[in-house]
Amino acid sequence: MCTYCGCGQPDTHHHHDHHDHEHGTDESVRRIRIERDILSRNNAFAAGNRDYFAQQGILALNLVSSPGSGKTTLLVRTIETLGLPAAVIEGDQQTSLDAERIRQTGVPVQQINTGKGCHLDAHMVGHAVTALDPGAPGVLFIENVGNLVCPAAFDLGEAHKVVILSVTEGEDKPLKYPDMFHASDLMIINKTDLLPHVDFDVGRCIEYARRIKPDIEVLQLSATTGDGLDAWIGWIRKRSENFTETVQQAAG
Amino acid sequence: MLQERAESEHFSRVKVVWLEIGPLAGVEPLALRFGFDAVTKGTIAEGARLEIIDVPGQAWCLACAKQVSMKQRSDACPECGAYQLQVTGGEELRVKELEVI
Repeated sequence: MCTYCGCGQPDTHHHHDHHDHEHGTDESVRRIRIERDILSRNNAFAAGNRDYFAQQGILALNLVSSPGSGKTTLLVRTIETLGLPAAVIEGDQQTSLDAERIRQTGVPVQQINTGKGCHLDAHMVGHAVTALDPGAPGVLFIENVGNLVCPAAFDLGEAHKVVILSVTEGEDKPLKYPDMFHASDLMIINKTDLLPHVDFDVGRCIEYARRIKPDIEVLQLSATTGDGLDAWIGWIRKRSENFTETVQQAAG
Repeated sequence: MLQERAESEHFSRVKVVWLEIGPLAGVEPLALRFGFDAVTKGTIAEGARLEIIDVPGQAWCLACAKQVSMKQRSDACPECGAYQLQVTGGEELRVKELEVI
């Protein structure tokens, strides 16, 4: 990814001190049209990641949720069952605890610690992909920082955002954090084994999510018991096949 | 972005920044103003005025088959009450124009 972001190459990131000479312009005030998105820089990196994933035949899924929704447990179960080559990028503010859990499954994993940051951006992911060097078709799971707000705005170059909501949270989260549910193509309702013990109305949750995003797909499962996991595995395999076909067609 | 433009367009100070923000951009204008002052300190935009241009939120209602206004993501269609809305405008967060010297 450094090939297009220019990191590590001197004089490409910081362009200060260039104005110690006069340009011959007068001090008159003028207006300049810009018309450029604030996130255009991130979006350019995301487009670079997306191209790379397409070239390599890698289906990238960006998993987003609150902290504690069971993302890592789901990921471990998924990798054990999937039967496709997989790699993982783990995003957390601190520690590599999640990466260690994933590493025990035997798949390549790269931890990104965002420090004070509340989301992954496309530039960080580009570097993590370079370090992972998947080099083969398969599925790349990007476990974003547990946060239902900021990761919604940052495209990482993924094929799909998948939002995970556990039944120990409120069913009204799609309404409270609408940007994330709007950005996602699939909502997974996790920890369904706990439904008898909590006050969570699945039907209402799905209705709320579809108010925000009418065509969002929904799967219900328990990563702990494995109930409903088959449908999720099927969803990934189907997307992976479709993705490979699309990439092959595009390549002619 | 401003620093890059300063080089290509040969200016040394930014006096005003016009920013278009839609109600569905996920941005709080007050927080943005606070952040703007902080991040422009020590840059060519230090002391610049931030002008926010509100962009209307719009959606296509699949039920009514027409454009309707939308203030937030959880809105229903103001005409028919359905939630089958596809956002068509209001997600902007864009630098529109600069006043420079």
